[in-house]
Amino acid sequence: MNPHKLIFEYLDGELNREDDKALRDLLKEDTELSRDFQSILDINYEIQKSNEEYNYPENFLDSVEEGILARMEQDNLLREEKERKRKVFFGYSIAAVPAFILLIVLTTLNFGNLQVDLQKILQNQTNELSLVNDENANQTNQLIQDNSDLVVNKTASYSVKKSAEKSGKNYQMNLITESDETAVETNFAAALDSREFNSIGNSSNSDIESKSVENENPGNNSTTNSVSIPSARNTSPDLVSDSEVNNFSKSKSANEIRIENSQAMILAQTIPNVKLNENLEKSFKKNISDFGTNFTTFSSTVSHQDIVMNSLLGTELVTFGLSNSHETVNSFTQSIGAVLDDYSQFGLETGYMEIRGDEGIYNLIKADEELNTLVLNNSTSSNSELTRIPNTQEANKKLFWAGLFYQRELLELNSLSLSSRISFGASDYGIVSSLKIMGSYEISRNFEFTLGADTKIYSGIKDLFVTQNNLSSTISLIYGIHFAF
Amino acid sequence: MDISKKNIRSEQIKEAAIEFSKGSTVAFSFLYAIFNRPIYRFCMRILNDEQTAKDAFQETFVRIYEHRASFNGTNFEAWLYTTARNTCINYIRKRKRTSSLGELDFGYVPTKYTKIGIREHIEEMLDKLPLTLKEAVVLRDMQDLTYQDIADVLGIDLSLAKVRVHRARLKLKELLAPLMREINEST
Repeated sequence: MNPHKLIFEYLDGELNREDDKALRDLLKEDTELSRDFQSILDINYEIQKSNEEYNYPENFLDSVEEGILARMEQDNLLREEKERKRKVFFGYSIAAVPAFILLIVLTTLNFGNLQVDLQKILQNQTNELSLVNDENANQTNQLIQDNSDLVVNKTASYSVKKSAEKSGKNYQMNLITESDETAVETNFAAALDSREFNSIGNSSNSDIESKSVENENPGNNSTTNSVSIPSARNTSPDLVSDSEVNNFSKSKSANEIRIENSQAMILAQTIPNVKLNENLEKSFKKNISDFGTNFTTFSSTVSHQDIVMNSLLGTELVTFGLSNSHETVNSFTQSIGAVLDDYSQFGLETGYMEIRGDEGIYNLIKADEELNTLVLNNSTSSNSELTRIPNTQEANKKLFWAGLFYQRELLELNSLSLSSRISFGASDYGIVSSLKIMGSYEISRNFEFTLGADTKIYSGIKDLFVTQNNLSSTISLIYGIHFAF
Repeated sequence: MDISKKNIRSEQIKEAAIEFSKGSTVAFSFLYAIFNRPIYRFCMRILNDEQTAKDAFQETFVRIYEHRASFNGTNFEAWLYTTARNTCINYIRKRKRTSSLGELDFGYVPTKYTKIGIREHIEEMLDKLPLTLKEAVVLRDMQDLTYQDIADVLGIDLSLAKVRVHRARLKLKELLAPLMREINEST
């Protein structure tokens, strides 16, 4: 074995008994090796001794420890504070999410019943729905039945109301039409989902009943008729059968037949899938003048897009209330929502805000520098400076957030509309809530330009900037585009 | 406070290291008390310059604090020395970039060794070793690390760690031979 290897193993305390004996023998035989051995032992001894007698810069070593401990304590405090905020945030979230959902449900229920003012529809040749509750619909019906002027004036009103009494998916449609001589109420009761309203013709459960009601107004010679088409599409979902027409023709007066036609017309106009048979169509064409030419303009069903996307850019107009040390430079919002009805949307919204403010930094000072020659360095560099002094510097931070929104149309005038949107979500730092007021100009049926204002309140700002308040608020000018498909 | 590593069980160090990685200041103080002097010595011996060694020492402990979450919980000492070694190497690279030709060593100049303390000679000769050998012998003979820890710190095999230490010792013996002869003759 290499004699020096034996010596080093001896130094490391790894020499076994046999090698120990071998080394001793070699040292006895070889004086040169013995000198080397002695030198190595001396060097090793001096090294060990030098470790023990090493002059350490005690103050420096202590200051390093103090500096790191100070930083650790500060970081621990920040972490605990952040943890506490997260717990508070999740507490708020747990309470806020059901409250938000409840708000949406209540708002939806409030406007859950639909009524179409057909006259307005006919005049404007639009397909818009206006929403009223059941009571209003009944009042309208009663008003039309009781008021001869309305009858004479060829008013026509068409309402669809959600049947509160019926469970499940039953809905009732009331049609009231008036001509000079007649006032007609047609009731449809159909078991169908509200969202399938336009495809009533495909419903195998259609159950349209009829009844005749004498007009209670003695001064009016008009007759109010209720007509039904029982199981109109049981056998052929797209066709009103001859037998149905014949049955009605045989059982009812001419006046009633005309009512049937009006019913069929409404079905045909309201339900794209329903086709009129020849007899009915002819009869409809013959009698259509009795209902006024405006009826012909009711040419398409009430329909709307199901999914909408909205991209909005924002720039700050004013920082108010809670903010004092920072401002929102700009923001971006992207949302995708489902149409609840022609006036309401509900969906997901994501966005980010770029916020400018004073962030906390540490200036680092070399431990052994004279006080009057302090060298300041940025804390982000990984240098070895020790003493850290808190300071601030202006910085832009991004805050990403995601949440739910509910949007409601407030006003509509031709291609212009005014909507409000309430959003509630969470960022990495806390809660974000937003209220937007937006005006939209419809370029096409699927595309709109939007301009408005966005008020945001968000928390967690203390984690980003040096500020007293954790909550912040801002009003921004927003502009963007809106797709519907 | 100087606490010898030999008096502390490795389990205690491991537990303290885990607590430190979670942010415990007590654990840090405990570990710092054990390792601050060895790490300072290590930095001094690798860099052979007090100011640079202080900078490297500080940076080593700042680094292990900032990267405490990446500690895998197995061998704190090896992790600490690895950080110190990497920090020292960075400083050596910086020094090489900034040093001028006039400051380079053109060769070994014999001195009257006995006029200077033997420890200073050892430190001086250490500095003449190639870095790979120097760090190996410093870790073994001056920092008292095991060969396995040295292998972990240097990122090499155990056998290669032993080879490097042995080569360094032989080289150091050669460099210190005149001094040792002089000492022997004088005694």
